Amino acid sequence: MSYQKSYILELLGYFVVTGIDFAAIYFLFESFPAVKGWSLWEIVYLYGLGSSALAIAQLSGEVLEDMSLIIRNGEFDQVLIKPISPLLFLMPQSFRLDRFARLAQGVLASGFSFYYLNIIFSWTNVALFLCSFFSLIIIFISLFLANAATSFWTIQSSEVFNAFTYGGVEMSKFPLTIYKRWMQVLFLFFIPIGFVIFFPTSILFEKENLLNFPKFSAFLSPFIAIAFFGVIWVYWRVGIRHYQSTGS
Amino acid sequence: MLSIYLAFLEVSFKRQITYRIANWAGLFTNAFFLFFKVALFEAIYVGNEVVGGLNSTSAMAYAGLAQVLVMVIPQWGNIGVGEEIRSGQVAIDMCRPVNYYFLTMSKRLGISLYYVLMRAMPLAALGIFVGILIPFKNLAHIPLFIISVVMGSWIANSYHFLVETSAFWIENARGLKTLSTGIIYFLSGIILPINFFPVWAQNISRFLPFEYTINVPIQIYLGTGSNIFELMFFQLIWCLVMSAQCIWVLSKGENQLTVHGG
Repeated sequence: MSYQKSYILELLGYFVVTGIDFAAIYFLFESFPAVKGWSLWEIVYLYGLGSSALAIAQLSGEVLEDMSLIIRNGEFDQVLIKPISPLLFLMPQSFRLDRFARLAQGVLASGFSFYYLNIIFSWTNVALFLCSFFSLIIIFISLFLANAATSFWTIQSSEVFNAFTYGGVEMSKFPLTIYKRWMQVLFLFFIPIGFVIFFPTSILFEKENLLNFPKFSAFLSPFIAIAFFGVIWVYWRVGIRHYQSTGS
Repeated sequence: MLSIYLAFLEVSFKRQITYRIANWAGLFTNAFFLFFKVALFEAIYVGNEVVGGLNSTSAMAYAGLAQVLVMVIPQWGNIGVGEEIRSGQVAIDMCRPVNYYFLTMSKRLGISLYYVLMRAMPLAALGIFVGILIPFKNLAHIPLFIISVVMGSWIANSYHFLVETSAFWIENARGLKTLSTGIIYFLSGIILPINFFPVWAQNISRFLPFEYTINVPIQIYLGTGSNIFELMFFQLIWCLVMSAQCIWVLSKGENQLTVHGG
């Protein structure tokens, strides 16, 4: 019975936090008309994309975040002797309310933004949204994998990749045009969160074209995300080999 | 008596030093958010002169200073009290000849001191280097600023203590922790400066302790807002109120503990 009570309390907590997140953006736009030409609901659109993609990445790659703990506890050896790929073995379905809350938050935000922006569900628009969405999921999963892989070298987990993941999702809620050159380059070409969320969206909202990229490049997003995953995957494999060779 | 508290402060400080790699990574995160928030505020001020008493420069300074102070005046936080209550460790601590609340605060101040050296100062240097933060114009404000930061930290830590004492009564306090963290994050001004809140929200916030954690020291630095001494007076009031609440809840919790045969 008390378990149910704490469940409701938890739901309430996430509900309030969602409200607070939105209130912050809403207050911002009460004080300021626009952010580099982007309005409230366009920001909410970005917010919805980022939140839901991150939530799905978290749900899929749940255990990767705890990987470093498993390795540190010495339990990883048991995983290595299984006859299937370590990655496949470590992908259980675990129910975490906060992940679903974030997903709900993202979906709601997206929904509201569609409504208030009167977005037409044309083939192009849907494609642009899905491009961003799936590319983001792949990139976030890659970052979790990178975080886990780093545990093969250092005992303490690498918060650097967490900074890119959670910092990345925060900064992706605002148009890339507001950031300094070096930050833009970082998030366009190295950790392509900016590329996959900003380009398709700026085309959807018919905003100014950053860097004068041809319009179709927005649809390259999934390929860029997969390429990024490929790089991280190599890092992961090198990590496993390094782990095995240090004679555990 | 005081020497016991100081001893715990020192031990806590020294223990934090061992987390070297975690600190570099955390510093990286803080710096990241500093650049992100500063860029955001610079962008929104394009075409606007003064909003909520801040101009572009002071708003960017607000963002920068907020990141500098965010570890010293903890907004997010497992301060360990919840775990200690659940594990029963608290019973051992209560056998000591010192008050558990003040004991916790000593430890927390040790940690804050560590973060002053290992986060606040490097980040402040970074902020000055990139031109976001300028050193104090009026040197007389420096000691006031420091006292204000200490009081802000006291209020924030007391708040977290208060929330975590719920462990005496509630099994799973994750919801409460989420809720309480969200509230302090929002109303302390680090997500969005209080200056940008609509007037009705500012009026409500004024009667809550949260803006007296990190917002007030920043206002003192910026030299905006009301009279410095008035702000610090309210901080002091809140320090006393929060402390009284914590001590009271703690005594109730102690009773709970003994009733359950702890």
